Amino acid sequence: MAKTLHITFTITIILLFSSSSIPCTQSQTTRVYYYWNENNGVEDLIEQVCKRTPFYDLCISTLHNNPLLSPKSDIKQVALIMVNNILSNATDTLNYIEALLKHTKDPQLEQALALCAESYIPVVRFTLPQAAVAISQGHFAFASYCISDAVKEVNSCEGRLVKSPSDKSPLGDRNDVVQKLVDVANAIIKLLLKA
Amino acid sequence: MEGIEDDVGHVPLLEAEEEEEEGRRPLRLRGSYLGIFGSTVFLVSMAALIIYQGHDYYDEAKIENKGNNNNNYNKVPRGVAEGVSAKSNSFLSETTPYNWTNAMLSWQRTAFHFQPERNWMNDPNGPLFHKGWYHLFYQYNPFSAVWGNITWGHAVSRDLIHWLYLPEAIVRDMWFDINGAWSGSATLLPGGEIVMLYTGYTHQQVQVQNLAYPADASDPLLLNWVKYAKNPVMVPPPGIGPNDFRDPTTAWFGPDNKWTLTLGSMLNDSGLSLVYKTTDFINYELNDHFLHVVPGTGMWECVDFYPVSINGSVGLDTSANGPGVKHVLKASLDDTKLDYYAIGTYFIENDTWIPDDPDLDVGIGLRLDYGKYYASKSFYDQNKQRRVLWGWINESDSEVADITKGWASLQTIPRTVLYDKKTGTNLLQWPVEEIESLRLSSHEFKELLVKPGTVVPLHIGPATQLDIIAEFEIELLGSEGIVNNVEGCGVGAVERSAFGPFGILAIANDQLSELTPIYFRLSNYGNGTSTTTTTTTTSTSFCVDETRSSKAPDVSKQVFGSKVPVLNDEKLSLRVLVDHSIIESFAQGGRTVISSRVYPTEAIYGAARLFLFNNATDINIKASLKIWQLNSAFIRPFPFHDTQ
Repeated sequence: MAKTLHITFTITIILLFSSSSIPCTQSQTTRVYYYWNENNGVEDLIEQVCKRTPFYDLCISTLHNNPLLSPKSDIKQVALIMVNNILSNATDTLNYIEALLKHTKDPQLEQALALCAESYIPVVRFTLPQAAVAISQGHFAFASYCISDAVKEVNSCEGRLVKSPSDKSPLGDRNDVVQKLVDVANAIIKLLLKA
Repeated sequence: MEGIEDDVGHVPLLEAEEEEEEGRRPLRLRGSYLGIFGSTVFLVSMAALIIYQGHDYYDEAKIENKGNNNNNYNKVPRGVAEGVSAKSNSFLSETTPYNWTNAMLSWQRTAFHFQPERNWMNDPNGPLFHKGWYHLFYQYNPFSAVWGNITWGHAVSRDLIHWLYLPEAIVRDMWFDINGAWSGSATLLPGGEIVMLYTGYTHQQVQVQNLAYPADASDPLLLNWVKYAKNPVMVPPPGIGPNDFRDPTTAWFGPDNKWTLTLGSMLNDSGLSLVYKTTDFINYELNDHFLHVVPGTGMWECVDFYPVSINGSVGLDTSANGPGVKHVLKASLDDTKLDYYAIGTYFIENDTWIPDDPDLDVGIGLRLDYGKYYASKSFYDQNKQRRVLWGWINESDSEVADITKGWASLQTIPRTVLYDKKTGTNLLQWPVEEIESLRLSSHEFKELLVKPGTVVPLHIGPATQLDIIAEFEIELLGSEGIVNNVEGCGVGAVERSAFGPFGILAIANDQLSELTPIYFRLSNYGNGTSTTTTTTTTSTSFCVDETRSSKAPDVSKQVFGSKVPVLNDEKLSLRVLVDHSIIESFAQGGRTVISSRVYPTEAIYGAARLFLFNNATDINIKASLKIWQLNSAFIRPFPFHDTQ
């Protein structure tokens, strides 16, 4: 009897010790990332991040099966991938704007496109590359400022091209996609700032 | 940065300096007696100059107690004893201070002009564009709202309008700048490096030039700066006084494969510009002749030298040269605290410059701004290919008020600078287009008739943050042939004449007990169909009258203005930026510019109004205006710790 009690007691102590080492899962979910271990997949990381962005589907499709993400990735890497993705999208959009500018005969459209190009050029040349460098160096506040800046510039371009809900943008959905991506990146960097 | 670590050329220089210092010691003692005598004479004449202010349009009746300051050294303006121009309005210290309320003082702070959160600012320094950011540095006192303890403040912006404060860039922590990190300029090298040259006031009160450069060239914010370990790189040369050597310009690259720069000085009351050459920004050779000299103009501070395209459509890099290029030489005159410029030709073969018109030479001809404006500095904005001009706007109120409100001074809205190809004699200054991003709602008025002796209210809502563009047409009344050879601004807008004054009343209240007229005044006006009319006999003056801007007696209230060239086919036009206690006024596309400070006691907040007025006797005015409300620029610290 004493032996059984002794064994039960020992087992209880062992169980108590092991349960205290299991990470708390019901507190702020950002804390989850700190205790991430290799047994959980990349997919879960993407899921947790994209849930906190305004365009979940777009976020998932950008990050899904991205070769740069590994089980060791963290939010910082996710943010970097997103920013670099925006940079290539924005560069393509800028090239498209400039091509349109060469061919358009409509003076009003020409003016709107020229102003859009003026918004895009500093974003592509400076703002996004500097945001990427800042993220990799851990200067998240500066990166956040850059992305907010990019949000403003891209929105202002949209405002020049689309004056009413029925208008169709000459850029198709290119600027729209960049706008959404920038909003997603903004949200991801804010996660980094909170951490 | 090449050359910084290369010590080979430096050892002989060090030895030479030490020899010079030893040789100088006995001279310095004698020099200090001379210095004391010279400074005394200088201080007394400065005090006298400030009191009498030698200005064409100065209304002496408005200033009380003007004779009291001659014998009181304690009331000498700040800065003068240290060997820079006066930085305070000492004559106001004798007038009875007005009972300024917090509401009146808070209203004075501007919404979209650059100013630090608190304390004193003066000259703009080292403006540049780098990796997507515009940088502004500025003379700053971190401790109080009066000049002193000068360090380099720092701010950045994407668009020259929305500024974010950064930590100080250059502080006074070495023997070669312990008494002041004074003004200087940036040179951008072709490889992307940035070189900053600035004046340091040493522990022995000698003005020297120092080299600094960014600690981390890849940092877009250029937060940290390194001072060259073996500063100073330039010291006052033989014959030049230790307090007559300051404010190095941006350097330009020439066909001799050297960088050339200039800085102001003085010999026997002749203002002049010294020329230095360098290949590495560490070792400099002084040219044996000056870039230019103008007798009787006194010490030249904040010299600026840059090319302009006579085609007049784009700004030019500081190194640009060739046919189709003229050069502008500008100086801030220590003696009068006014900024003068002249357009001329740069002879790069021997680094001299002569003005197009010797009667309009530097210091005796045209001014960049005819109001409260000093220490201006331009830079080439390679981002948008324009030359951009900054200018320091001091306070016109009393030092006591500045200390109470906790701040002093503003910068102008940056202006583009172009050669005016229509007149060939003037520069055109215009607020940078980015200011239009502040525009909110607008009101438009077309051909409003304003009869002689009347005032027309403009119902535009709030009237303290405005962008006003106006055109005036003149309708001659009665007979032709009125001979009316009045010139200039008169004693203010109350002085009526046949063809002026007329214009707008800004920061005015309903009762018109406080108002600031901005106006044109023509000397003559011919009937359009008359063949005997010649525009050469008509002169147009553009003026701002501060005399009734405030009921308070302890603020400076002057009439500022100048003639402005108006061509045959041109209507009279003006643009005015109103931003609380500063008004920037531009006539004829920026040919003549006037900045003024106003400190109303009643015409503040919701009580401020805008009017049209015509105080001429023989003409009707038809005015067309477009007026925008302007938003705040929300100038604030860089959000390093933002976690919104």
